[in-house]
Amino acid sequence: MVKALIDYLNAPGVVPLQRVVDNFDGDALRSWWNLTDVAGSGGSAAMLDEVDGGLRLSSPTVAFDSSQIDFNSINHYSQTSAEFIAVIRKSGDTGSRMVAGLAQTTWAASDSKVAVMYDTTGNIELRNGSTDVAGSVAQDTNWHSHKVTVSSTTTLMFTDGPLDAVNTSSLPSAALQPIFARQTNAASAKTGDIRYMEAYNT
Amino acid sequence: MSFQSVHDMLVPPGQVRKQKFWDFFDGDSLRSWWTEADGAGTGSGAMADEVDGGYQLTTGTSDNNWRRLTFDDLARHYEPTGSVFIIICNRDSTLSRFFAGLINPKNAANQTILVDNDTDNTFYELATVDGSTTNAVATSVTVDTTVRKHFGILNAASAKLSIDDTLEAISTSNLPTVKLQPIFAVQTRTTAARTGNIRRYEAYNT
Repeated sequence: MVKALIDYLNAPGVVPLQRVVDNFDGDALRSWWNLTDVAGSGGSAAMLDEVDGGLRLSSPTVAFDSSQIDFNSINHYSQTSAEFIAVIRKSGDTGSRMVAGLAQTTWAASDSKVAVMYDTTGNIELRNGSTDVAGSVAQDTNWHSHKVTVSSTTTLMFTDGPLDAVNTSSLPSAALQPIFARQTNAASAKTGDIRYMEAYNT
Repeated sequence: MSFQSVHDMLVPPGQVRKQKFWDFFDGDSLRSWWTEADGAGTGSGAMADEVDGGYQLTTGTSDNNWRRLTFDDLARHYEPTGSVFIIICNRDSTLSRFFAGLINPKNAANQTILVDNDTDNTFYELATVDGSTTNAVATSVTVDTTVRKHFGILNAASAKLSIDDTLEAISTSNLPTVKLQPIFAVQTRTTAARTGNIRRYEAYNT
C-alpha cells in the first residue's frame, strides 16, 4: 500500500516538481491568490454559497473591463512542460469572455499564455498567446472540466475527458502562473465560477 | 502506481469533478478558510504542539459552553442527498462533548448529519436533523476520548456512520434537505474548560 501522497504522484526516483492544488472551498479565497483588475476596477471574488459552488469571480461593471485571480506574476510553471486542470462554469452572456489557464502576466496580454478560452461566442477554444483554436464543445452554462497540456512543440486542451483542441502556434516562451479571468461586455458584472484548479510541471 | 495529477487520483476519466475539500490541520495556524467562533462562552483554539496533535479547540469555562469551526455560512457546498465526510478527531477528557459532520446553519443544528460523542450519552450517536426533528441513532461504541476515524455518508434515503471503518449506525428519517457545510465543535459539560482535537477533515459530493 502506498502511504504517502508523494508516492501517488511521482514514480520512484523522480524528484517532484512544482505543483499547486486548490479545492476552492471554505469561507474565503486562499491567500496565495491575488485579485487583479486587468482593465477597469471593482472586480471581486467570493465563495459561492451553493452546492458544488466553489468560488465566483465577478468582472468590473464597465464594458470590456476584466479581472483575474493569479499568483501576482510568481511564475513557477514551465512554458515547455506543464499541465493545468480546472473545473469552471461561465454565466453565459454572449459577448463576454472567461479564461482559465497559465499566463505570463494576464489573460489579455499578448505575452506567453496557454489557456482555455470561453470567447465572446462560439465553441470553447484553446488560446496560445493571442492565437485561438476552437474545439468541438459548444459554450453553455454547465460546469466543465478542462486539462491543458504544454510541451515544447504543442499545446493540448481536453474538455470533460477527450482531447478537443491542438494548438501549435504562438507557443509560450516564458514561465507561467495560473490565472482565472472574467471580462464583461456590458455595463454590468459578469461572473465565472471555479471549483478546482491544479497546475504542475511535468 | 503513480498518477499525473491529484485530480486523476480522485476523479474517474470523463467525470466533471464535484466539490471536494480536505484539511490536514498542520502548520503554525488554522487555515484561513475556516471560521472559528464560540457557540456559547469564550473559548480559544490553537495548533496542538504534540505528535499527531492537529488543531485543538478549547471551550469556555461555564457548563455547556462550546466552540466551533465552520465555513461561516459562506460556502455551503455539500449536497444533502449525496455527500461524504471523513473526520479524525476526539475530545480530550471526561465531562465534554464533540460533534462533527455537516451542518446548516453554523450556530444551530437545524439541518445536519453529525457524529455526536457526548459524555451525557452512553454511546456515540449519528444525528440527523431535517429542520425540525432530530433522529439520534446510537452506535455500539461507548463514548470515550480516543482519537477515531468518523466516516459519514449522506444520500437521499439514508445517512450512515462508520467509526474506525465499521458501520455503526443508519438513519433513514429526518434527513437534512438543504446545502451543508463542515463543522467540528467541542462543548464542556462541566464548569471548566474542555478541549477537543481534529487532525483531518475531508468532505466531498458523490
